[in-house]
Order: sequence, then structure tokens, then C-alpha cells
Amino acid sequence: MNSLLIGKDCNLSKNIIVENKSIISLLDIFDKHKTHIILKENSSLTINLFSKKAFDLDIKIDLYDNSKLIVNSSFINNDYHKEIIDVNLLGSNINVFVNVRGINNKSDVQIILNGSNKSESKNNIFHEYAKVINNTNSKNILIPNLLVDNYTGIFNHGVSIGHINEKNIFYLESKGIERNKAKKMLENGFILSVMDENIKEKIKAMLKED
Amino acid sequence: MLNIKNLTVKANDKIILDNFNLSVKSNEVVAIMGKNGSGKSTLCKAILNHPDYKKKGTILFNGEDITNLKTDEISKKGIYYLMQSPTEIEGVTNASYIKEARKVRGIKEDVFQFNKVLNDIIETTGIDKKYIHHNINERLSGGEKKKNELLGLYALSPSLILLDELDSGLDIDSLKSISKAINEYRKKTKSSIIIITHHDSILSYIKPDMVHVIWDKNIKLSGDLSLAKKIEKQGFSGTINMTRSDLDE
Repeated sequence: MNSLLIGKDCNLSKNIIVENKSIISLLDIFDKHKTHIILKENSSLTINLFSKKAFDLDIKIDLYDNSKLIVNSSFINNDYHKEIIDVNLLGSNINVFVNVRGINNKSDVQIILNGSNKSESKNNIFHEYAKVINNTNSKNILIPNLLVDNYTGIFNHGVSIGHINEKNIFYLESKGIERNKAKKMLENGFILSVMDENIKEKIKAMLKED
Repeated sequence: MLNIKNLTVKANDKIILDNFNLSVKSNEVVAIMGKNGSGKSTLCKAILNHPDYKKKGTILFNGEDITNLKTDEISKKGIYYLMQSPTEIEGVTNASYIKEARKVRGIKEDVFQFNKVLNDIIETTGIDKKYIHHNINERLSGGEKKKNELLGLYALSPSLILLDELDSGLDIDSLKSISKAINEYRKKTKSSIIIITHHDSILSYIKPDMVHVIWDKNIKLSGDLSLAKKIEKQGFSGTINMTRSDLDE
């Protein structure tokens, strides 16, 4: 399992090719650079991405036969946040799951999730979702694009923008937890729930710093 | 323990309870019965000062006016609300909310002491250990959710428990085992219970000292367990229309 934490003031450009069942170690920082990842036949890649700084991600991922991609991305923004994840299914029997979660506390958010499936690509499974909790009056743009040219697979995509559920806040308040603390617990839970177990503790520690 | 005086509750400008009065003594079990939409669950939410309900009147708990306290403050006074449909919350585990809820109650404990508390609850109640680190009620069945809520009940040591339609969504075995755990808690702590229900089935397992019937925004009938049995037989409308002598028969 590979995890990536976005640190402060890091700039790095990287093209990554994954081949022949290898799993890459993603310790590079994508911020502010276009990144191109290619997953060759039978390869797999899991990315856990967390950001609480200004962030600009533009990543293109091409997948070939029997490859598997999981992108778990979450953020709490106190500055602009832009995330473009462009996934191209260029083979068959591919599995893709992209899950983006964010808390917008201050500035504009733009998330574009693109997915495309070639007409000759068969039996692919593709899910992409983005959910943003908006705590501001700033602009949230979430665009899920999906182009499917072959219907032998399963394809789902969706986005949502909203607030923390008041029922959930009331539940925690009814247990004695003060409203602001309850909201914070719910927000942290919202973004942590998409991350792999092995990185949760690191992110929890980062959230405690706030 | 709890004294509700002249309470009027509105939701969306509609009066749900009007000039409502209720008294619950220490170590007493009170059942509130009523048909759908009669205001039974509203009563629980009004006690907890839910923001969707506007109130007039007074709610005293152990002599203290809690009418306008914030929900978390009311809970910390010792009131535990077991919801009809407990909310599912992703990403927040039982352990994490219980830890926080105990902390804000002034309980100082390290992680080992906290784990011991939870393990003791597991042992006493027979709740599955997996619930400790499970996200709050996430993907649980109706019955499992109610069992899950027992963790909070035992860990937060309330002196008044509001059971809002505990029996809804429960099979008979689950109802028996959850009722047993609640009865044991009550026996140990001498706490009081308000049972909100449509039916008398739960009252066979958690026996009430008093039964009240809400009708037309207020308590119209009061009695013992036999009143609940009459309601089960005659229905709410039938029982309300009975004369006092009919009821005494």
C-alpha cells in the first residue's frame, strides 16, 4: 500500500510508469505540476492523498488490461484547491475507484473528474465520486465527466456539495459534545473515512495541529 | 427528578404539545403512549432543546431549570436519549465519541482505564466487542443500532433515560436482551426512564410505574400497566372515549 502526504512548499514533477504487477512507491509531491501515470498490464496503484494547504493537482492516469487504480483524496482547504483527475481506460478488465472528499473552509474549490472508456475496452469497472462540505460562501465547482463508448462494464460517477448533516450534529450534542467540537469530529470523520487505515493516524495527527 | 410545567411546543408554527405537564420521580419508570403524530417523540426532543422546536413553559431536572440550556449541557446533566432511529455517522467511532463525551463530563482517565470501562460494558451487556471501534451505527440493522446505543448508555451514566420507541425495528429476542440490559442498568443506578411507545409489548419487559396517554396535545389519561393493556385492546380512540368507570373496570 502506498500513501502520499502533501507537505509544505514542496515542488516536484514526475512521470510514473507502472508495469508488470509492480506497485510503485508514491512519495513524490504532485502539487502545482501536471503528472502523467501509466499503469501497464496487470499493474495496480493506490494513492492516498491528503492536503490542508493551497493545492493544485493535475493528474492524468492511463490504464491498460487488468490494471487496478484506487485514488483516495481528501482535503481541508484554507486556500484555493484545484484538483483534476483524468482517468483513461485503454484496455479491458480494469478496476478504478476515485473518491474525493473535501471541507471547504475558505476559498474556491474546483474538482474535475474525467473518465473515458475506449470503445474496444470491455468489462471495466469504474466509480468516481467527489463530495464537498461547504463552510463558506465561496465558489465550489465540481464536474464529473464520463465518456463511455462500450457498455459491457459498470460505470458510476457523482458529485455532491452540502453541509454537515444537522441530525448528526444533534446526535453528538445529545451525548454531551458541544456543537463546534461535534462539527469538527464529523468533518474529520468525513475526510478520514475514505483513507486507508495505514495513513489515518498520520492525518489525524495533522488535523490535531489545527 | 423531572418536572415539566405548562409546556407548549411548536414545530413549523404548528402546536404539537399544548400546556403539557409531566412529573417523573427518581427511580420511576413512566410510559408515554399515543398514536402516530401525537407528539411523543417531540416531547423527547423538547426536553433536549432540539433547535427545530420552539417552546414555552418550564422543564426542571433535579430542581434546575434546563428549558433553555443547550443540548450538550442538558445531556451532561444526566439525560440520555435513545433515538427511535439512531443516526449513522461515518468516520466517527463509538470509542471516539464516548471518549470525548466522558472527557467533557470531567472524567479523567488514560487509554488503559478507558479500555477497561468499555470492556466491562461489553462483559456486562453482552454487546459484541466489534462495536467499540465501529463507526457510529454505520450499516447496522435497526436492532443492532439499538444494541450499539447501550454502549453510550452504560459509559455516560445518565440518571434519566428517554427511550423513544425502543421496540421499533426490534425482533422479540433483541427486545428482550436490550430491555434486560436497560433493566440491569436501572437496578444498578436507580435511574428513571421515560418510555415512548405505541404498543404495550415493550412494557412487558421494562415495567412502568405509570402510563400516560397523549391525546390532543396533552396527557388525557393516566394509570398503571392495565391502561396500556386496555389501549392494546380498544385502540387509542376507543380508550379515550371510555368513561372513567369503564376504565376502572
